[in-house]
Amino acid sequence: MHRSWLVAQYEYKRLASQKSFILVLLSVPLLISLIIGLGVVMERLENNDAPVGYVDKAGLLADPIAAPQRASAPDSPGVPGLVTLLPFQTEEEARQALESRRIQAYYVVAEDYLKTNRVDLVYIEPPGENVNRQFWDFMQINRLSELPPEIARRAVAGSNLTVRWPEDMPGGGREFSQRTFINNFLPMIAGLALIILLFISSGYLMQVVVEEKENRTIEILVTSVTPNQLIGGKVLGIIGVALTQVVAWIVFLALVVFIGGDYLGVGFLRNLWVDPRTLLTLVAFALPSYVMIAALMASVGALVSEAQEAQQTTGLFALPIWAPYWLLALIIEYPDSPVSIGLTLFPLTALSTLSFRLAMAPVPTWQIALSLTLLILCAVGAVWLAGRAFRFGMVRYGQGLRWRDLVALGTGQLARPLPGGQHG
Amino acid sequence: MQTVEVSHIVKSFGTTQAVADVSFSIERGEIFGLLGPNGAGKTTTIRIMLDIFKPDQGTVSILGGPLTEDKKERIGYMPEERGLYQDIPLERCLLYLASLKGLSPAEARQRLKGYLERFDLAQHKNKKVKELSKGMQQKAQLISTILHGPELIIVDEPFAALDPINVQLVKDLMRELRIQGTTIIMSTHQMHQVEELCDRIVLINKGRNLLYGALNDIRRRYASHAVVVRADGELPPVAGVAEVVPHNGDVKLVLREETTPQDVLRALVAQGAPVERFEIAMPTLDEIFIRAVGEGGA
Repeated sequence: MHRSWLVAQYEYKRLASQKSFILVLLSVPLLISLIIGLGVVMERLENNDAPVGYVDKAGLLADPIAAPQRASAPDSPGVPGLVTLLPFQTEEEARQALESRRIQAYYVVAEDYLKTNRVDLVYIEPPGENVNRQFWDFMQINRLSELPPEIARRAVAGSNLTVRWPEDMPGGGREFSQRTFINNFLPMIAGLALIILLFISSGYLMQVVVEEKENRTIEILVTSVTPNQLIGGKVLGIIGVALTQVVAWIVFLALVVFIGGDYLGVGFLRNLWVDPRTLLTLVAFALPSYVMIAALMASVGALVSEAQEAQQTTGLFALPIWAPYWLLALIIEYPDSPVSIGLTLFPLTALSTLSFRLAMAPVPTWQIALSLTLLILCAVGAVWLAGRAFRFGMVRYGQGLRWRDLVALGTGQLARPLPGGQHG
Repeated sequence: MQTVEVSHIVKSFGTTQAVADVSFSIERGEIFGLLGPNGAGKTTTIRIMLDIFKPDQGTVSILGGPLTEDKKERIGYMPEERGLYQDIPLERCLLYLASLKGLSPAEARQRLKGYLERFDLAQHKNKKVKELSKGMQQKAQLISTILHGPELIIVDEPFAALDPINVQLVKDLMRELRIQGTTIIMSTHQMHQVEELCDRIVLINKGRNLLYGALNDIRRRYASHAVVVRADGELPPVAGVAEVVPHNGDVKLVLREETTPQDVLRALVAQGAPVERFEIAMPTLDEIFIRAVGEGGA
């Protein structure tokens, strides 16, 4: 175990100090920052927080009720998106205020508004998009002023369809809300991020093994550690790297949600939330998936002679892992169909399928437990297989990978090292 | 106790027999030459000794028994060509490989410092291995092999890519290690280095022992019935000499079967010949190699 740990430490440090790792580490936060930053800038450009006036000739706003805040607008005054509505007795007063730039625009509610619905908007430069939205909410609630204020506000707030699973069923208490529907897609996004990370990390591992073969370093390594210690250490190191990235991304996202939502007033960030149970389930599936794929990639690296051949062989694993994405519509529409359940139980497709199903509906506990058990067993088997591949393939130089080698390796028929690498 | 005992090992890959029957034993503190032409089975034999391959038949005893994980720390192996990580700094690479051999980081650093200075690599320790010349990489690889103080060292072509100064450095190091009791197995095609360093050799060809034993015994066995003489002037005719052949500026006297070298020396002295050098004509290891392999392959 000590030697595996040494190998793990080395692989971790080696990868973590590479520019490509730092780029991947920073790429997601940078991308998110860019998207959110652009959103904030666009919102600022579209909105104008300067006060807006109104002249109520119809007498509907004599004793006005404040409009309810929309989901996208912050509660506190003085923050982006919220404008102050100032009443004026005459159009002349309003026009003077406009010309002196005390207000950005003013509305004139016609005397016969109840018959004509006429409201004039007067401005020098077009007001921000938030102005109209807020004024019409204001008008609507005051048209309902005969109702109790809380009912009027609720009527103006409109509908929000929420689907909630019963508490007494697996995954019970989960909600699928119209206004927070983005939250339900977060597991899918998280699943995709984990799978991309999985490919990057395990691809790196495969490359390392091929290089070790090319450099003959493998021959020195196996005179110091056993193939199983070597592969175990390498897989541990890669998992460490992947976890570092995941944790860094989660911490960054949490900071973005906290700062962006609470301080910068970005509306959709304030409502962003992932069910911790869903997140934990995904992480629980991601870890054995990493071990399994990394070990399989390392096996390929040990058996082939060139990096290019190794890349081509990875298609063997890439195809099934991406298969659920081709069947996305089917899985989302019928999350409990035999196809969805089958893909959930199959180790290579479990992580991605589960990320879809968890997004749509609760997944029965027995399916999660069985799938995870199968995945862990396969991960252990993959490490065992990788140990064999190292043993038999490490001094196999200059030969292409043959299907029968893979079959023989998997069935244990490969009782002897493969020919090759005979020097003297 | 023998440090290494290889007994009748056989190894085949599919239909190719890499090792047909190889046996030898090596004692503690000797430098042993594992020789043979290309494809003779040397590397396969080394890999069997290191438990990278399992033999189909035969047994290998290393440091008193089968090779175990603990014993790996007591062995240093330098494969032919490369063997180091190319994309990381030299010092980091060597420290990592030393840690796998059970050396503590502090001890490894301390020892490495000395070796890097001795091999004139100290100023290159932060360079990536691939940025070093072939000769530097070869020296670095040798350091990696001996850094953990192994009892048994197996080196494949240790002098490859080294200039004469560094060849001498490596030879001195090997002699030093032998004095300290380290057993060294050296596989090389540079026969003059073997002549200088090795106590005993095994020459294998087509996977079988061809010659095995003490180097001097083998040379004597292959010595022709002749003497090499250098004289200040022309040599007088000597009875019992069948043929006189020029030999690198000297003269080689091929003797008749019944004549001994002592007879010739006495005859030369009796005739007052100005003899400066007189020795039994011993074949070089190169000559023995070519002859043995030629005869073995015939």
